[in-house]
Amino acid sequence: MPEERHFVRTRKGRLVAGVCSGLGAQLRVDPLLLRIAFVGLAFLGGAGFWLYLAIFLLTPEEGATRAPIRLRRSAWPRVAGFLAFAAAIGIALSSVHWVTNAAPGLIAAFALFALVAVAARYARRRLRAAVARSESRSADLRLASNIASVAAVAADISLFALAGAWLAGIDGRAAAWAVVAAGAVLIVAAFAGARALVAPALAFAVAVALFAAASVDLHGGFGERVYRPQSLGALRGSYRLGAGRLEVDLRDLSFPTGETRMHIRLGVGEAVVVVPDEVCVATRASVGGGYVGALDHDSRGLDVSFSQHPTPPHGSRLLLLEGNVGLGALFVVDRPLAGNFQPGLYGTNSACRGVAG
Amino acid sequence: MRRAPHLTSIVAGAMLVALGIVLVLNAGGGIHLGFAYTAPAVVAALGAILLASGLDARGRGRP
Repeated sequence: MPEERHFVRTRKGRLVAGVCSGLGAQLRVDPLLLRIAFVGLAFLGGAGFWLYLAIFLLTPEEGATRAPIRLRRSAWPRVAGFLAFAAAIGIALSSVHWVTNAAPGLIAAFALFALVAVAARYARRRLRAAVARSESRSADLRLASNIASVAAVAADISLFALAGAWLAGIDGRAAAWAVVAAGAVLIVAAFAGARALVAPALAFAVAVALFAAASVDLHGGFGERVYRPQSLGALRGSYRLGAGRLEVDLRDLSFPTGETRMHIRLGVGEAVVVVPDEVCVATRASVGGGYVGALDHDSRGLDVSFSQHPTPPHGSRLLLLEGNVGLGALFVVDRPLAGNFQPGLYGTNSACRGVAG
Repeated sequence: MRRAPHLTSIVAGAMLVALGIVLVLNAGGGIHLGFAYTAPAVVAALGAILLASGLDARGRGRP
């Protein structure tokens, strides 16, 4: 009777967790082909990554008696319960309107990073203890312990960078003082032997510095805002959004002759101003980092200062548009964007030359 | 035995205090920061911290 071969992740020939080398030995296929297949699948929505992770967690390594995760029949209700709980939290967060309608996304990001940081630390402690106890010196345990360490540091950095960016966008002065305080804490901690604070403090400070450099202002809410004023009375002098997508469609307005002023202020994201053909548009915009595309002109990069001030014929309708975008893009177009902006494709500002439409 | 202070933390702390003061001045309107100044300053600070980290590691006998 032929010997039954059980699939295990091999110790010999492994690059990461021995999934491909194990599969190769089981299927009698060159592991290199399987690695190429996994990498290829990783570009399909991350399928390769998740598949690799699932095989890693559910199959034992060579010489081990069990897989990292053993799903018994009795475990399924717990797994289903956990997934349902996670889904419920996600749905609850997405439906809570705290200050603005995308703040739940921010809270969810904070919660996620905090959760990963705590869980990774717990896993790392357990894994290190297991490595110390292990007589077989399992490569899996050491790999998992290293992954948990990296995940914990990455979650810390993400959490503090997010906090720095948020604080800098809400109150730049407080964020700057917080950087000074973080520096002072680091110096004191250096004499107390605490070293783990360097990376989070740097992440916080770099995020504050970048948001300050881009003059990001997160006041005005989060999410998507679309305005389509129907009369000049409904046209505001200023539209602002903290982060997200802001669209102001002015095509229903009948502009008077002379100047009409409007100001767009966006912290992070995309702002789109849709203007009617018969109006000459003078755009002046500053973008910390990103892109300005205004009808037949554009500019991109860091510290973008865009100014387009045509001299229309006497008696023209002139819209003086001023835009401030921290990180992102400002578009001025004659119809809603459908695809990539190209100068001249969404209007030529012909009204400035006395040629309307 | 008294343990030597962690050099990386001291340098990182000093860099953050300096960077923070510049950011305070920027927030108060005393100076105007753009990426043209901030990006090199941040990179220089990170470089100094990495240098200190390397020196610290050598001083403690690590490669």
